[in-house]
This record gives sequence, structure tokens and C-alpha cells, in this order.
Amino acid sequence: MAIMLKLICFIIAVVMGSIVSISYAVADSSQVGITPNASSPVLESIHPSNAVIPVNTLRFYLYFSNAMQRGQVAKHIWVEDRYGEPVENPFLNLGVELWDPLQKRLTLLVDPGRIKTGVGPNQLVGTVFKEHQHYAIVVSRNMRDVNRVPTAIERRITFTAGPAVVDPVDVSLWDFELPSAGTRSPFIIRFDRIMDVGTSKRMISIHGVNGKALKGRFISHGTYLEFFPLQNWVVGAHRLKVNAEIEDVSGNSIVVPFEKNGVVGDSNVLTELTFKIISG
Amino acid sequence: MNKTHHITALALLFLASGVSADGGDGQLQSAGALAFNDNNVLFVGDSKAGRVHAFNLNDSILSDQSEYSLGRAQTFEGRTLIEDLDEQIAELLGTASNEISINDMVVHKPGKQVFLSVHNGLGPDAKPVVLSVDKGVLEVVDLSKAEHNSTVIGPVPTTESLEFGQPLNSLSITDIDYYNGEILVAGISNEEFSSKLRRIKYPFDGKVKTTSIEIWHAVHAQYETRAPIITQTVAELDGIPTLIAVYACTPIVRIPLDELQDGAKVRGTMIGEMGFGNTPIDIVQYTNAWDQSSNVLVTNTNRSAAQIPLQAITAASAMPHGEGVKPVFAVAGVEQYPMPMSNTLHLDTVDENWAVTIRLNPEDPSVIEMHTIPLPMWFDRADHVVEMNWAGSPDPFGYKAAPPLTY
Repeated sequence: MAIMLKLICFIIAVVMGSIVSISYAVADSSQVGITPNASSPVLESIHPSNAVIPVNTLRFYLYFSNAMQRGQVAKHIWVEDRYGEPVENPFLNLGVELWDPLQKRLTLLVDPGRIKTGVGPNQLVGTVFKEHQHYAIVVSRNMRDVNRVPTAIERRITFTAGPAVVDPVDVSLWDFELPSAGTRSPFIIRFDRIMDVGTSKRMISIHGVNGKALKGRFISHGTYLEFFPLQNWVVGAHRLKVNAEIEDVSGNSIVVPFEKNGVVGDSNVLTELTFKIISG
Repeated sequence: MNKTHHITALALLFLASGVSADGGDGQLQSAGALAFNDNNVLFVGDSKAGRVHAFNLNDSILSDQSEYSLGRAQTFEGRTLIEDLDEQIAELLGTASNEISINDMVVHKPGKQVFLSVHNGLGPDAKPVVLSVDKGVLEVVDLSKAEHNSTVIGPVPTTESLEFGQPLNSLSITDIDYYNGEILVAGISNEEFSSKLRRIKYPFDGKVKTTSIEIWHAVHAQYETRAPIITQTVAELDGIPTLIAVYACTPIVRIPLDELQDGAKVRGTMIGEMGFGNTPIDIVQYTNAWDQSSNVLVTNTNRSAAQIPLQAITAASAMPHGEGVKPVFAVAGVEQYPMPMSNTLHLDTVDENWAVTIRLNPEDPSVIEMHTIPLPMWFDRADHVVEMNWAGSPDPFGYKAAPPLTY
């Protein structure tokens, strides 16, 4: 069987009408007997898409070009180590597949019992990922869309497991790039870690001088977030509000870190910041 | 496209009050977890719409099955109500068996009738249907004949979020339980690792009490604040209504209902552990007709089912927690008795003598069947290699003297 490996360094993915730029390594394995065509579903992107991700990454999002069938994940998606050996039971078996309403985005939860260092499952069978090791999330060429059309090409999303991130999310560690008044330039938040793209788009809001949340589009890139307002920025004090349940890719939130004994209700944390928009 | 806009407009209308009422089934966008109240109201979890629906089933829908034989409990003989269940559902819906999903099953206790939630199709436009079983025959329930209302429980598209397309976050409803005029709804978010439980009065008034639950997780040996509940039931323990919940990584937790107030953050008492490498499927309550004890049964993906007496749950001490406690790897805590059930996909009780399952056939796991199980031993002789089944073997209980079962 001929296997062609091809490195694609830059992929433009159209996700929910937004153009998201991501980079990652994808290997294509051409298969005899199945030929992709224009209608074949494609795994367009994945989050986190960084070459190095925390060894305790909890959640992956896989974005497909087409609406996909439910009921295939256990059979057609797996994790391999650098030698092509499958990693045993990497994902939490929930009994339900976590798709978005259009069934184009799949959420995969890494077994939390294996992530938490020093605990039962972690000690019994080890962590899913080992630091400094290389892995691939593999999507079978037989993963089918709702019209039963297979992807036809096996996709391998490779990454390296980096240091664990175990601290709670801390807004005071974020950097900001402020736009100028009179423009619609993006307000940019640079995170100190890879944030979950789902919650970071949904749990951050920017409030204008009248106190109301500004309308606009959030585009999350993991390590940074852009907010494009519908209206021009105006001079004055604005407020950034963050829901304390926002998570990074390792499941740490502002209120509770994933790895440590958290205390429910500990809300004495920074979740709002004021910034001033000035003329350019 | 027009259809999509129509649904969106409806969803926005619902937002005004959080409750909708009508006489049809047009609101059902998906059909998952099922539950009945004490009468004829069928609750249907609709993860796609972020709602729970309530259908008040009337006599044109309900059919009393009390006279229909479920087998012979005295001789531990269950009955296969429907063979090749997936094939028969597919035939009824005019599709192929690999194009359907059987999402949940519930028994209407007063009439002993089985209802199923099914999707015709595996894509986002899968058509949700509710099926009933009438004397072993599947029927599509015409929900338009039922009085209907529903309430919001999960993320629903808003005017603002729809400006940039369909939101991606959703809540998969894993279980619904009715108790004393309320439903409790558990679910799993596709964007947050949370353990929020929703408590909703019925009839719906548009209010949802949401509680965050912290549990002590023995397998993890640390506080675990955000494991999702997979299955749950409400039982009275020493007269105190109590939620008994089983989590994804299998702790069993006990929480008095009184503590589940809106916005509250409570710590459930972990009293047991179903063991690592296993996921719970269903928890059901039943009374042991032999000794009148009250119990729950938990079915599992990778272990046999476990029976737990309610008395043991009441008396169980919290499992040790805090610094220095070593992790628990196996079944632990409250006493559990393994029951001979595996490959069970869905389970509910019918009465004190019978439960009904959707399961993989013990001899041919490629076959899905609806089969009854005699209680309280959860044991069907035909499923097992037991001496009493052999020709010429001793028959101390007189099973062989019983005439062959005919239906």
C-alpha cells in the first residue's frame, strides 16, 4: 500500500463564516480503492492546533467540512504514538458523542482520570500523553458524512506533548492590544496559555462607554482572541468582562484549576478589567 | 433554508418566556432522555433544541399492556418482546437499520407500556420520533394528539449569537427524572467540563434552578468539582428525598434534594465507587418482592450490573477524603451486589416482577432485542449456562415440571 506523507503547513479553514488561520501537520495516507472527490468530507482543522500542547490537554475540537454521522467516533478516531502504536482508551467514554448542532464540530474529552497526575487511572495505565513525546490524532478514511460519503483519506494530526498547565486561569496575566477610536480594528487579547476556543469566544464580553456589551465577532485562535466590533470604537472607558467558568485547553477555569483541590464558590478572583480607548 | 429560518424564529419566540405550549409535536428537534411523571406525562429531552418537552399522553396514544405476558417470573423465564429491534424500527420508519439510533427507553408504569426515543437518520437533520410498543408491535406515537409544552434548559440561539451563525455549544441531556412535581435534568456540555444539575417544576413555569455540585472523587483522590452526571434517581432515604447520582468516572453520590437550590454550590456525599474503566448506563429503583427491600440497580458498560440496597445508601458513611487518602481503584464504599446482566443498552422496570431491557442478544451480540428480565434476581435462565437447564439435572425448584411457555 503506497503511503504518501505530505506536510501541509498552513490551512485556511472556514468555520462558522469566519476565516480562521491555523497551522498544523497533516499526513495523508492515500488508500487503494477509495478516492476522495469534491463532495468528500474533510477534516478541516483541529483545536488546539499548536505544534506543542499541554500534556494534560483535556479537550480537542475537530472541525469537518461536512455534517457528519453520529455513532462513528469510537471506531474511526484514535490516537497513535510516534511509532504508530495506538494509545489505549484516550477519550472519556460518555455514551454520547459531543457534536455541535450542525454536526460539523466534534468535541473529544481526554479521560480526566488519566490526566490527573498521581491518581488511580493515571497510576494504573498512565497518562494518555507523555511529556516530550509525539502523537497523532488519527481520523479514519472511513469516517462518513451524513450522506455516507467517506473522508477517503486518513488524516493524522500530529503534535508534541509539552509541560502540563495546572494553574487556574488568571486574567491579570493576559496582554491586550487596544484599537484606536474611529476604527474597527480588532481588540486583541493575548493569553498566557492555550485557551479553549469554545468558552473563550462565549465567555468574554466587551462593554462600551454606556455599559452595554458591544456587538461584534470574536475569533479565537487559542493563544489569542480577536474582537471585531460592528461599530467603530469610540473614545472612553470600556470594560472587559470574563465569565469565571472560562476554561483553557486543560480544563482549568478561573474559579477552579483542573489538577488541584478546588473550592466551589471561590469567586474572589479577577474577572473584569477596565481599559480606555483613545484616538489614534 | 426556509425550514431553518422557521425553526430559528420559533426558537427565538420561545426565549420570551422560556416556556411554550401547543398541541403538536412540531417543536421536537431531537429526542433523547425519556421520563414519565406519576401519570401520563412523557418528558422528552431535546438536546438539539436545548429544551425538555412534556407530552400529556391521552387514551388515544396509551394502550394498557397489563394483560400482555412478559414471561414467567416463577421459572426465571423472560420474554423477547421484539427480535431484531433495530431492523423492525428501521422497517417501520422506512429506512435502514444502520440509519437509526435508539436513544432511550421508558416504561409508562400505570399501563406497563414501553416507549422509545429514536432518531431516523444520524445527521443533524435526523428526524426524532417516539415509538410505543403495543403487544410486541412497534408503533409511531402521534405526538400531535398530545397536549404539549416545553421549557428551555440549555443553550438556545439568541438574536445576538445568530448574527454570526449557529452557535457551536450544546448540552447533551443524559438523564431526566421526575419526582414529586419536579424534573431533574443532567447533561454534558460540549464546551465546559461541568457538573450542573437543573431542577424544574412541572407544570413548567419558565424557571430553572441550577446547582453546581462538588463531589469527592475516590478514584481521583481529590476534590472533583466538574464530572458530569450520567444517570440519577430520586429516592426517599429515611423519609428525606435524596438524589442518588452516578458520575462519568463512576462515583455514587448522595445529595438531599433540599440542598439543590438555584445558584447553590453543594458538596455531594460520595458513598461508593463503581470502579475504574467503566461508565454507568442506567440507574433504576425497585422493590424486592421477596423481602420487600428497596434497592437500585446500576447497569454498566464494562462491569456487570450492581444492586445496591437503599438502606445501605442511607447508612453509608462518606468515603474518606482529604490529604493523605490513597486513591481507590476498584469497586468500593457502599455494599454492591453484582447482578448477571451485561450488554444492556437501556433498562427500565415494569413492576415488582419485571424489568425490560434493550440489549445485545447473549448468543449473538450482533442482534439487538427488547427482552424482559424477571426480578428481583435480574436473572433469565436461558441467558446462562446453569445446571438446572441441563437434561437429567436435578430440579429442586420444579422448573422442569412447569409446562413450556407459549404466547
